[in-house]
Amino acid sequence: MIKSDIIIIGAGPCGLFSVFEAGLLKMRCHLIDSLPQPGGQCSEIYPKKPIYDIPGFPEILAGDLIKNLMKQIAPFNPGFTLGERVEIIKKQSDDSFFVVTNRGTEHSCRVIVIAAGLGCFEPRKPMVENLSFFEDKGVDYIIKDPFKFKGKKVVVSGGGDSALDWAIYLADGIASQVTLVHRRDSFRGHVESVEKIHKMSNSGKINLITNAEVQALKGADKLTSLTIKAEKNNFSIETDYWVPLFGLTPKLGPIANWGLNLNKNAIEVNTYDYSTNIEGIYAIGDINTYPGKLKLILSGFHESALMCQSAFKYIFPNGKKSFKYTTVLGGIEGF
Amino acid sequence: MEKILINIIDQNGEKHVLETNLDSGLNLMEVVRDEGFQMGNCGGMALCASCHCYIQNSHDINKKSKAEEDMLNQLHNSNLESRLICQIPIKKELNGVVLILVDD
Repeated sequence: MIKSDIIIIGAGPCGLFSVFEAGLLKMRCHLIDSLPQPGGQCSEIYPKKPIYDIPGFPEILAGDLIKNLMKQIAPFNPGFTLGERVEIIKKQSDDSFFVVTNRGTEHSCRVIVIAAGLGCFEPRKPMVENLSFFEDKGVDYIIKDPFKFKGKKVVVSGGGDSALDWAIYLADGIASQVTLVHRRDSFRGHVESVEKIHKMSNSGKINLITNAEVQALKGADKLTSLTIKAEKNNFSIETDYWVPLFGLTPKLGPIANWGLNLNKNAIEVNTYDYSTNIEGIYAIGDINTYPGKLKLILSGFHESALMCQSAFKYIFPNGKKSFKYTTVLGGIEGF
Repeated sequence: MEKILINIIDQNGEKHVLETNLDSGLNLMEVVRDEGFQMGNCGGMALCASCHCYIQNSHDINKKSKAEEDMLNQLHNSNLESRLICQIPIKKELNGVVLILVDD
């Protein structure tokens, strides 16, 4: 059981900044995110895109903003549970919360902050018959531990950075055989990655199949082969794993089951402190809604600061806290 | 103020008709999102494909940019009628267009 003062669901910019604001008030945070890395959309969708409306930064790449936030919160030593999705939230008799992820990781905390942006990022699943039967029996949508593919035959599908990067990584001494299948003959990934794929294909390290797609999955109790539909003919390929990487899309997911007041897939909050209808649960950033809501990172930062003041009063009703500027503090005192 | 009609067939096959001003300065995704349809996660940069729709004869409206083409090529369910509607500005030629929203 992982214990913390605050569990933050969502490790995007607002979730990360909440660690800082909470840390100033001596509250320890643990972040849970369905993605395997922190940063939310900034890391997953547009890490190389510049943002122009972060105060004090005339221009900053989304990925660099996340790097800076990680550096800013480092003194407060937050915990991370990445690649897992919060499934269950239960309020206990002592008003603490019991939180369980889809992988069974158990957490306990006094306050929950939902900073989930547009929801949980879930993989786009291709339309192939029996796909769900083979999930965790040879079909993986997210690679959390690449060494599970050690010495195995792996087929990766997709044409973006994720598919290219993993195909390259797995073909470099991990998997015994890597096949990359893509629907087109051009790739969307970085030029260097595309060049590397072609080089590895020419040297026989990667089996590259373009203008083709996986049409059927076969195997009795686990995946053993795939049928590939190509331009001219269909053929079968033996494999231990198929990793379809067609991008991720956010879904509200289990948040809809937690008894929160929702409005068009967003959580209604009180703008006094961004609290929800459940005492002890707050919602900040793009996931919340209120009259006049602006879905901007800077709005989420503001919401985070006010939320933490309220969370402190909730966790420590008799605690004394005086508001001080970080400049007056003369530095950040971490944990 | 000149207006155009946009037909939407949602993921459940239900038909919706929207009326929008021609001079709004919006793109098709923004108009559809403002009506409550969930899309536009990346804000309109052709990076997330949450506004992926099927539109017949969309090349008569505007051509796909390389960024849009690349993103569509990455999807498992794109076809010749696929468009990312964040890349289509509102204009007169869209009057009566039929958008089929794609289920992720």
